[in-house]
Amino acid sequence: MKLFDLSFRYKIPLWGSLLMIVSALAVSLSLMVGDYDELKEDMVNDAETLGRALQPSLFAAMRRDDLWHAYEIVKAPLDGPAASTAARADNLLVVDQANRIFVAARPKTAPVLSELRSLGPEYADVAAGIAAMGDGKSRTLEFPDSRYLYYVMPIADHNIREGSLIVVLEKANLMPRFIANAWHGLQGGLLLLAVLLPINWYWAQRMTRPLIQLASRMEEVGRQLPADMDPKLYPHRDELGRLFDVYNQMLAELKAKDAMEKQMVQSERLAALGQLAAGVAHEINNPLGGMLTAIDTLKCHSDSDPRTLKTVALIERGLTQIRDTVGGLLVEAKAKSRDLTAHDIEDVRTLVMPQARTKGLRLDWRNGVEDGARLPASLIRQIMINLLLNAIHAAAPRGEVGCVVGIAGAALQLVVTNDGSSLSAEQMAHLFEPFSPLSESGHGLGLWVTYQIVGQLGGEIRAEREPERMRFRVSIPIGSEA
Amino acid sequence: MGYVVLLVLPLWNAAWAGPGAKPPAAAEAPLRLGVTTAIVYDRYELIEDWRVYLQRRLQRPVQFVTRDGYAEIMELLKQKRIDVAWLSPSAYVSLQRLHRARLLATPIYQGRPYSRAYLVVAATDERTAALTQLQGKVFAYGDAESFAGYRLPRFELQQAGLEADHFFRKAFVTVFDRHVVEAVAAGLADAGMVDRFDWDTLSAIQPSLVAALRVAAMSAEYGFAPLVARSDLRAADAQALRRVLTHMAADAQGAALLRRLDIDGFVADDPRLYDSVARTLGRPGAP
Repeated sequence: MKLFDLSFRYKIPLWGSLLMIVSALAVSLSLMVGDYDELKEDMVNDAETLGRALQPSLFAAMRRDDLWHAYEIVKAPLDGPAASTAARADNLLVVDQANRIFVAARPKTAPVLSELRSLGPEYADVAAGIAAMGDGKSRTLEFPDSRYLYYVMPIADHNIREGSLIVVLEKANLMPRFIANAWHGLQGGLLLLAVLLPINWYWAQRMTRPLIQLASRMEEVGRQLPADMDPKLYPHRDELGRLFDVYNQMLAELKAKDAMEKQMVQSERLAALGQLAAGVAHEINNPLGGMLTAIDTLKCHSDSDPRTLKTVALIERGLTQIRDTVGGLLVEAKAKSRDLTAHDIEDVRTLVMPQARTKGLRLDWRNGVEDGARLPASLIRQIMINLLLNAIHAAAPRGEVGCVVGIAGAALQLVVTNDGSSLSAEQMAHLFEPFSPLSESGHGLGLWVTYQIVGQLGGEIRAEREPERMRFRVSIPIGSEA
Repeated sequence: MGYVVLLVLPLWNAAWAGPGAKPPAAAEAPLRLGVTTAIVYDRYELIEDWRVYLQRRLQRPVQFVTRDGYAEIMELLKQKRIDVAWLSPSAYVSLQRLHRARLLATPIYQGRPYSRAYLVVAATDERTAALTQLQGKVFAYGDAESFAGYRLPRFELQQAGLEADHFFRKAFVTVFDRHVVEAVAAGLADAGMVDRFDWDTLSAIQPSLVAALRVAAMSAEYGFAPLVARSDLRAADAQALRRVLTHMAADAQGAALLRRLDIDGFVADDPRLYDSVARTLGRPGAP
């Protein structure tokens, strides 16, 4: 896996940390470089102070050709306790006008009367530098890759010049002080990083956790409908927060579409079933009617022996059962009926009450219909009885069955609830189909018939499943006729 | 109680000073001794102890005058601002020729009143065995009035028919003879001559300094640096001091002081000890 393919969970904190470390280093480095230059300047200033202090007595000593005195003058700064600063000189050289050594603080490195340029290539450059000075001003000579700095000061009194003082400064002497300063700087930087890095890590985690969850949820879309995002995960109203909103909105639409598709599939299936059932019922009813008429005739106009009569009665019962069954399947709400009144609702109550009482149920009855409505009373009664009997049957012993009926929005609204054990998704999918396996007694045609009636009245029936509660919701537009 | 102590202390002091001792009379002029700091190696405490000792022995005030070179001490003696001086052999001879000084006593060093001059070179210089081999080198002289550090090397070059001022590539004087040793050790000079007494003292107190050096040659013996009195010092005063000096070794305190001075004692004046020194200065009256 490439570095740039890493998860944001690592990439953002890593980049943040990298940036912090790089900037801390850059700042420290620039401070350190500045510090080094400052230290170097200090060192040169110290050398200048030293030179100014020594210059007059050196001038006098050179004037008298007093080599020993000059030696004592240049030697003192190297030996004395005052020289224990970082900027202590490594050597002091006094040269005459011809650039020959008059005296050196370390005579072995620069013997008396030796040529300055003969002491080494760097000293040759120093000699050239002194020759180029001319103007009698002090200057610092620094050569690339040299371990030393050379501070050169003329030894002169007014216009009389005797020679030059060369203070040799070893750059390495800067290092202990430089390292000490750098260490202090580094400690500060590390402390800062110790504070900033955890903050960076925390912030990055906070930023990336919602993103990561969003990404994983989005990946699920297509395979299954993912869960909603936790709104507490990112409550802010920035781009990320808006992304959350959009995601939730998209998810809601997907869910609605999914539910609608399921419903459509179910109603199409039920419609097909209804057509099939009606077709089959017609095809059966025609010969069945003939057969029953024939049997009737046979019973009235025949003096058959009792054995034949017994057989005919058997056939008649069988045919009657077929007719009932087919009749149950073929829901035809064509019968002209009077309009619904409030009494019809109360009648239903009276009719189901004994069944409910037998099971010890509490019936929560709320009748909101006061003046009646233009709806076929017998069909509405059948719908209510079917649903209530189902509910009473499904309710737990000593449970509760609710019935709320009212008129709202130019439609009759009926809600029947019971607190029985809830159905499985599979059962829900086949709830309104005929010969329901849910029905332990009867044909299992109750809900089928109800569904067909509601459908023929132009209404809607929906079953809603809740934990420990089942709800049927029926809505039938007023004024509709089958 | 306090009064008793105050009374007892002077009595005790008097008793300690010995029978017949009495505090020096305040009016009496002090005896003034001039020394260069070179001789005592900056041991001022030793000078003070010696002063107290002499004062008690002489029963008169003694005062030490310290200067940085023989020339200054000689000048003080000429101007009678000091009575006695500890001088180099050649400085004594010069003053004696001018009738400005008389020999008072000569220290005894390692049993004899003589010393020698050492030609000192760096230990790495294994070739040099004589002063005359040092042509073109850098030479460190000691005090310009010192014998071993200045007079003797110049005399030796002269004896060899060489011009001292042009023989060396560079020659310079220092303040004290011991600076000659320091200059050679530091590499400032290639060689120098120094009195054996200085060499031995430095060997004892600064062994690291002499460790890198080598004695390339030794001179013949000459009289040890003497104590001299100005020529017009009262004979009685001179005699008293001479007696104290020559008897120092006899009492414990004197002996302890002598040990600290690194000498065995003093002998009475014998000008013949300095005959060889006088020869190096040329005939009397010569500049």
